[in-house]
Amino acid sequence: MITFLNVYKYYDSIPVLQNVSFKIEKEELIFVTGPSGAGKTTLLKLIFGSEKPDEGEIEVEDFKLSKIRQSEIPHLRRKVTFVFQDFKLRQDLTVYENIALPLLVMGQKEKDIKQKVYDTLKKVNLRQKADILVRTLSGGEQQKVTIARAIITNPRVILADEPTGNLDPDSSKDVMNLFKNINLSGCTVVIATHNPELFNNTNYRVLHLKEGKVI
Amino acid sequence: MNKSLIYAIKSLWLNKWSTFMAILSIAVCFFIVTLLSIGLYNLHLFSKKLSNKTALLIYLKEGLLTKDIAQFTESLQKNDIFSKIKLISKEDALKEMKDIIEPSLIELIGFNPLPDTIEAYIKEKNLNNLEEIIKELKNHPYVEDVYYPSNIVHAVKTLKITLWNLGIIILTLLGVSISFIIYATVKNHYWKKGEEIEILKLLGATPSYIRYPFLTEGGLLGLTGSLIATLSIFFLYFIIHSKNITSYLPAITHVIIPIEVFYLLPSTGLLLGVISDLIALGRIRYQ
Repeated sequence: MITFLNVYKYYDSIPVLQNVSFKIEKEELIFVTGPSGAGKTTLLKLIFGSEKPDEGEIEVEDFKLSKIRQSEIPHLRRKVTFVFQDFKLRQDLTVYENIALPLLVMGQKEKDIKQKVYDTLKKVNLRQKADILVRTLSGGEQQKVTIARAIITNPRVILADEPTGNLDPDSSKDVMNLFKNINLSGCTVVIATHNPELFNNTNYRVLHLKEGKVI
Repeated sequence: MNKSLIYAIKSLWLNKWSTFMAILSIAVCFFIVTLLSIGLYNLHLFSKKLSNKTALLIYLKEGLLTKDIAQFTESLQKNDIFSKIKLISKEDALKEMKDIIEPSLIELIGFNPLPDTIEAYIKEKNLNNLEEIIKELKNHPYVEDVYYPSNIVHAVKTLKITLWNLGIIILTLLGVSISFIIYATVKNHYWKKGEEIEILKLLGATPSYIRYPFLTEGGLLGLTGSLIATLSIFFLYFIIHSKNITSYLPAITHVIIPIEVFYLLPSTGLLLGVISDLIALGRIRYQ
């Protein structure tokens, strides 16, 4: 599903990732952890096609990301979606409109979109807030909208960068439960976090990064 | 496409002041461009008419036999250089002169001073070899002299070339200005939507999905501006053909506005809008 082979990434000749190799299996939920600056976000960006590796090979689904063309990236992002710490939501739109965006981008019909959006809203318990402007929601609710937007296209992989970073403990718990449910429905989930509470006492695999190396 | 159109109209409405100013500037530029083009077109027609209507006057020597004159006239008619040959006998020329000058004054001279004359109209394609033609005719044994109002024709031609070159420079500058106005307006709207576009890229929007609304926006700007200019030209056409104007400036009715203007102008506006837009958006890159 996701394969890293001897991957190196530099920013201004400073190595951010060094000789990183690992494999994530289909339908796996995995945590990527490490201190700030360990390379967690860079690793997710590489999987998302936001960055290209300087050395090594990355394969996500059928995409060879070391050689990926700009024109292929939109297609990759329909299979691999991202949940951002800062949400990246359209604050001028409603919850419904934000969640519908990926389907509009894919050119789906209005009727199909409506059904899918309401189904997804139900999954994240935001059905009653469909017509509310996103900017009026709490941080936890906005993160749920981001997750709903990420799952509406039935992606193969969901990447989440510090998804609970800005949330209170209760909201964090809700969000983590959502990820677990998404994983149970057959989606591969990669969560980058520096918060060990999220994966302690769980059976999920954890990838530890330190100074750009897998330890 | 419908969605792009709605999105573009919404965006133009949201930025209504910059949109209004852009459309106004584009309309003014297109109006000037069209007036200038019509002016140049009419100058071209006038210059062409003048060249075609100006004849060489070939004055024949005294004492030639009618048979010789007829033979010479026939040889000129067969020549591919000329489009029309007209012989004016000295008797006909005198009659014409009597229409202009008091006949009693002519009778005072006591004889007909006018020579037999041939009016020779040169084909347009041969106008460039005018000097050679005149020289050749002058060398003919039957020809006394050849007259051609070359000063007037040359002056009109020089004026045409000068105005034509000047016109092309102004047209190019105005064309660039129109493109720049559309470019700047769309670029400004694009920057304003920077965050929105970034989100679309993250959600897997293709470059064409991102571009279409902006292309529509640019096309609408160009089209609306040029349509306003077209309507203004249409309005102007009726004004210059109204009785009030033509009674004061009768020459203005001779100004020809080619019908092509009314569809070429909006098409140019639309095309310029889309092209400027493509330049403004450049290549859409994913990060």
